[in-house]
Amino acid sequence: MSVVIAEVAGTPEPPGGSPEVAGAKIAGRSPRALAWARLRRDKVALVSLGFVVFVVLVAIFAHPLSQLIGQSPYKPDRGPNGLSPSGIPVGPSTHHWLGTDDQGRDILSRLMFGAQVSMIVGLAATAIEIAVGVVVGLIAGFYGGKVDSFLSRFMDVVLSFPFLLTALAMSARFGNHLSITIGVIAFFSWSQPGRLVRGQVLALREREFVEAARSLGSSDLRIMFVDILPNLIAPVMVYGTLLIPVNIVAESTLSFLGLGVTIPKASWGQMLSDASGSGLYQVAWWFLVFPGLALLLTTLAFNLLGDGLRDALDPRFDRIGKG
Amino acid sequence: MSPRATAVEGVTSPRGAHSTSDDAFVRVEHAVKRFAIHGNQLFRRSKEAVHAVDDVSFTIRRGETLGLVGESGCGKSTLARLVTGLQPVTSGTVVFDGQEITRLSRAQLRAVRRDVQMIFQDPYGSLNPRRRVGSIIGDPYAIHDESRGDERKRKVQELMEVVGLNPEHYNRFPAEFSGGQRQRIGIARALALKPKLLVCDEPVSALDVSIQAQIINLLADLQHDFGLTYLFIAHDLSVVRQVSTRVAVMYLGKIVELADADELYERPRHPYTAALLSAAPIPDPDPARRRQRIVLRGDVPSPVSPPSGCRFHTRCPKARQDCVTVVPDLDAVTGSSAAHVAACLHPVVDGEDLGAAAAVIDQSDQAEIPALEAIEKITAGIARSVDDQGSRA
Amino acid sequence: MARFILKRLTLGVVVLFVVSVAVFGIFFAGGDPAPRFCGKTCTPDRLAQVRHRLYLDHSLIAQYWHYLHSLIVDGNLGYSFATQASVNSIISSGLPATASLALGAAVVWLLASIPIGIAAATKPRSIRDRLATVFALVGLSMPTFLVGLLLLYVLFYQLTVHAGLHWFPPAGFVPITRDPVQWFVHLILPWFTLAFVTAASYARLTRGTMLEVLGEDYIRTARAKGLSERRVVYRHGLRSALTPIVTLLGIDIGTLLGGTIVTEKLFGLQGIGQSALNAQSQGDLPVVLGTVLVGAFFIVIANIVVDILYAVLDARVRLS
Repeated sequence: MSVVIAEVAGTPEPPGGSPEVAGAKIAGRSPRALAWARLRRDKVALVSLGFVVFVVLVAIFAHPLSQLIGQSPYKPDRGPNGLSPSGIPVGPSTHHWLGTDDQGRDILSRLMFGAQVSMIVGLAATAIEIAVGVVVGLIAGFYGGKVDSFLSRFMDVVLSFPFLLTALAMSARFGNHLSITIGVIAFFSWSQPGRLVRGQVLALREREFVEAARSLGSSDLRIMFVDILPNLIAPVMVYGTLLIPVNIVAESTLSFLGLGVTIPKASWGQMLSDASGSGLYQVAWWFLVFPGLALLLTTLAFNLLGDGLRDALDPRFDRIGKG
Repeated sequence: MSPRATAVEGVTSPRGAHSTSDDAFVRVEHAVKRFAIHGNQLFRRSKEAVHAVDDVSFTIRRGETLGLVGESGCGKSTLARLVTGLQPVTSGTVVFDGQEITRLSRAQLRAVRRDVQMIFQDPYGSLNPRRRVGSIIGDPYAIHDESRGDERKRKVQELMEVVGLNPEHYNRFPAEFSGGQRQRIGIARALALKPKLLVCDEPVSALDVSIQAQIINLLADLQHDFGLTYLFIAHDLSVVRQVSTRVAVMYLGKIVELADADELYERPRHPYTAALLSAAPIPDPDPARRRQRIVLRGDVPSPVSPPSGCRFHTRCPKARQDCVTVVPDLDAVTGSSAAHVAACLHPVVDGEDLGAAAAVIDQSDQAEIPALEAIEKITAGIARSVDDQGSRA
Repeated sequence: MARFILKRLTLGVVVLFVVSVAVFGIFFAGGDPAPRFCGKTCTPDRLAQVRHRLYLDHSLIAQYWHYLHSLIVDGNLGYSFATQASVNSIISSGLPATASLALGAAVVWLLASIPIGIAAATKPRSIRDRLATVFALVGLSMPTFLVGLLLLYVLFYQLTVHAGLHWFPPAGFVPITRDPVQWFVHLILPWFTLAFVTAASYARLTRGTMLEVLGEDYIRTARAKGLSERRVVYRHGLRSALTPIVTLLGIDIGTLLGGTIVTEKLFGLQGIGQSALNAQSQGDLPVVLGTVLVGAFFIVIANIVVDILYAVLDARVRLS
């Protein structure tokens, strides 16, 4: 029997080296490098990424940028460049590139500051949702049993609140502040990543490397954050990118209803509310189109980016078209 | 350094190299592991259970390699986890190096973990795909708060060299390594804290045969260099024979035979062992043709309701009436050395041809699956009615 | 099975209970609500009267008990701060509009999205698939109010004022009992507005599910047996694809019954959402909180129905 094994043994593996083929060394690539390469090939995703970066930059530099074009988002232009004699907004012109709103304020600079609001709320709410969702999902999935039951029920309860109505109630009670807006939005959506993470963790904890970690004497907390969490990064990243547009839309809807950012601060949803409430959109199409486009393109970009990320991080070769 | 494998001599045998003392390094006594079966969620307290390990007692001597063989589902993996403390026992004790580990708290058990480590079967599953290899191997240091920073890196790279990996691949991910290399990573990880006992749960089963020899050689070298004791679990008999000092055979949660490796393979006393050995492939056609083939009836019974008396009586070629009622103990067998024990009321006698043996009891109803039985009844009934019609026509 | 239903119902009750506690908490959080109720012309006497009427002179637990009691036994949601009318009456007067809107929109989006999804899935990568995907993506990225505004601008303003085609009416809700035709006409634009975004996500879902299902082995077998493509897609493929869609539908309708605010505002429909909006601007807490409770109620009911339906369709869920 010993002869059998030895004769079949053949050429031993080179100690610890990657297989060398005819002198050329084949370098292995980390999963991160592979994903990045895949993303780079996805043109749609790249364009979306570019647009997202553009919006973020505009949001950050809204103030200096608006000063650069010599406009202010708050100062109404009562002159003939801002409002027509009958008080109707002026369309795109050399003075106001994108026209003015019902108060004669410059739309372009208001859009820039609106980007600020959308980005702040979108990113902050998403960050909170992810943070809370991951922690709750990790604990629920890892410990299972009663802990899981309780946390899952809790997530169910959270999902049973009607979003807009509850936001109305909070606003009626506590007024409108940016932090309340962010809090309300985050409260309603954190259970989504929570559920996702819980499902992933339930599967991951059965893997052998978790058992190996236990056999080394690793504590539960360590296993959760050092072993399981790295395996969650990919799906969480994709989900997070797809959550951002949801939160931006939520914020714009709240602003539209008058619940979000207060006047005279600019927010895309609020601009649209002004347009619709005053009925002016009927005669001043720019008042409707530009904020609407800003919203649409930003959300679209994030959605496409999220899809691209998902394809890059988890390629399925027989995936037919983008779904 | 022990001599590496050569074409003629085969794998270096670690047997007997350091087993000078007879004191039991690990002592398992009447270990039982019971898993409850949750049939219907509404009735949580279920009466049914699987006794994966049912009253097992044995010892492992310092420095030896105890091989553990058996078919899938016989309980060997569960037993391994009882010895390492990964699963709590339902009853019984496990004593490791003089300390009983079965009643320890989690914190106390952590300290013991430094001395008892495990090597897993699946080289692909047992390593976290999202962590770098250096981090994986260095995990034990991090968990037990030993060595930091550069010193830890140095130690990890030393370990990598010891197991035959290139220390420069410290920052790579498991996906960039082959199966054999990943198993080496797992071994390096297990060695980090300088354990005394290494439980190897089918460490080479998932590897190519050509790679298996290398890993086994590596394990042999490590045992020699570091004075390790092994519990080596496998289902491949030829592999087990190479590495083991003594070998234990398990069937349906019980140990049925335990002896020195050579003696077990050359003169098995338990009919099950004999049957297993007769089925192991031998490439040399002449001895293969000459040996007796013992074919066992039926399938391994369900562990949920194991057979009464000697569990093997439903398939044993030598079954007698007392085998149905009496549970045999692991006792010494006449004709073999004192250390050779078998749980059999009618052990194999020298020169006996088991292939020609016939069981005295009726084994037919025991081995059938109820569903199969039902189908056979129905088809028999149909056949009968067709016959009737045929005769009428 | 009965056990499962019971379990599910109890869960629903617990959820509603927690929601009621939260609502109760919001009402009392951050101060004494009595002055609000008292109104602008408030005297100490009147204030005391109000406190007594609102049960505020009892302990918090007693108040909650009273609140719960009137909620469950009387079905009473409280009284409006502003108009003193009962919240029940306010909500029930808004129910016809909201229900017409939500249910009608559901019909529209189902009729639109499922065929689109199927069309896309049956010819992947074709023109119609790409169009469907674009539609889905754009739809998913738009807030409902934007859709409504655009529809109003194009279909109402441009057509009516510029082209003189009075196809679509301006705002307003006409109860079906009064004039079915007008009821319908007034709801067309609101239905499309509400349905657009959801149609996009359902189209995507249908497409994805159908693609998966059509790739399964049993579909290949059906084709190999010689069944017509139409039969394969509709009889065999659609059946499995429908399950996730049906479950999602239940949940969406439940959520929708509490969330048509935006559409109601845009088109001037006097539904529950509109009442809540008006109440909020007046700080009329009982009305708003009442709508929250009702909304949550619909969501919980919808979830229970969906779960039971799912258990009926899939025995595995029952036994897990």
